[in-house]
Amino acid sequence: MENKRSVLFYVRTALTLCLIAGIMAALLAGVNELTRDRIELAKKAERESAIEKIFGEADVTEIYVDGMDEDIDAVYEVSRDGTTLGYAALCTPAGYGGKEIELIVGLSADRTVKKVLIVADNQTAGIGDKVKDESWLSRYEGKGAENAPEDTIAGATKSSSAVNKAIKASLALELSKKEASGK
Amino acid sequence: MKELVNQLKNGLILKNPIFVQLLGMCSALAISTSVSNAIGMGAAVTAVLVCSNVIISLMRKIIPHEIRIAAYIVIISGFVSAVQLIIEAYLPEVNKSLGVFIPLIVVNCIILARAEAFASKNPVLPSLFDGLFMGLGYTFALTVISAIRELLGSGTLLGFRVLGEGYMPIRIFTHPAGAFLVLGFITAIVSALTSRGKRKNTKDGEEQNG
Repeated sequence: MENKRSVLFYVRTALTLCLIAGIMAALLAGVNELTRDRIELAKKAERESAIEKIFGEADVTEIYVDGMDEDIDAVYEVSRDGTTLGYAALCTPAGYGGKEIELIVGLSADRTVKKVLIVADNQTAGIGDKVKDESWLSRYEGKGAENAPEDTIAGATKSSSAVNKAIKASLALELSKKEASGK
Repeated sequence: MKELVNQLKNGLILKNPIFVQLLGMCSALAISTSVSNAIGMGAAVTAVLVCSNVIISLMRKIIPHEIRIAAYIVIISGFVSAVQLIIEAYLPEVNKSLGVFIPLIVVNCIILARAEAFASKNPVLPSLFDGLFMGLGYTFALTVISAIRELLGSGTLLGFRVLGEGYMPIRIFTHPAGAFLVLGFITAIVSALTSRGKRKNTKDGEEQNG
């Protein structure tokens, strides 16, 4: 009889594990509740400070655009004293090995690239992270949808063509059809 | 009190999780590129270690032996997720530079090892101090490794330039190979110091090689 475990043993074991999981779930729910707003704020502040690096101090509002490319996560309208300075697109194209590059494309009001900012490259150090190179990124500046450069960096083809793709998608945004997202 | 001092010595030097127990190598090697990363990671691991040790010690009598590992993992992963949320909310910069290594604390063997070897057999207070001192030992080891790597690899400490402009950084120290080199040398030195006198005969040979 010693070797045979009763049903009660299994029930007790399962219930103990359930209890532990329940306690930890409750703890996590509590922590999540406490930190959720702060996390949202921190993310928003980070994006806004990146956008302000491109445009200078400005009001940043998220807008909704129809038919956005899947590489674009969000579009922001940037304005100061009521006049629109331009737009900023937060893009996350897949770079080398599917790792996403996070970048912000600043667009002037005339639909040309104002400045490109790499927020997080997540690419191989010393190889794919060449996309952060200022002189390479500055080739886009002042270029529109018809003449945006599409050359890649030798040795970092995947990473650099991902950036090219994101820029192309940003320039293709139909910003005239925008609507206020109400957020 | 004597017990406490012993625990402190064990955590920092004699049973240092990195240099002596060789636990949690993956995170230690990957994260130790800069001192600020090392301190952030050390603090996160220490927090998880203290919390999980306390809870596991509290529940040591009700956790059935058969499912103890599953129970430990649930408790550890719960605390890791909580710590990650807190870091994300209050220290977004740290969260960015540590990235995936925070969730990976779940599988850091230091924490499971302390749960299994200490917290499951000891009362709450000693378990709390064990977690604290082992965590500090991990932080200490990470800080030493990263200080050497940052100094030699980029000539800075905590981001400030320490070595003059003329210093040519030895780039290998910022790469994984450099992490292995630094860890290997420190482990050799620590083991030589802690076992001094025991192996007098082989000591000369070691010095020539090292």
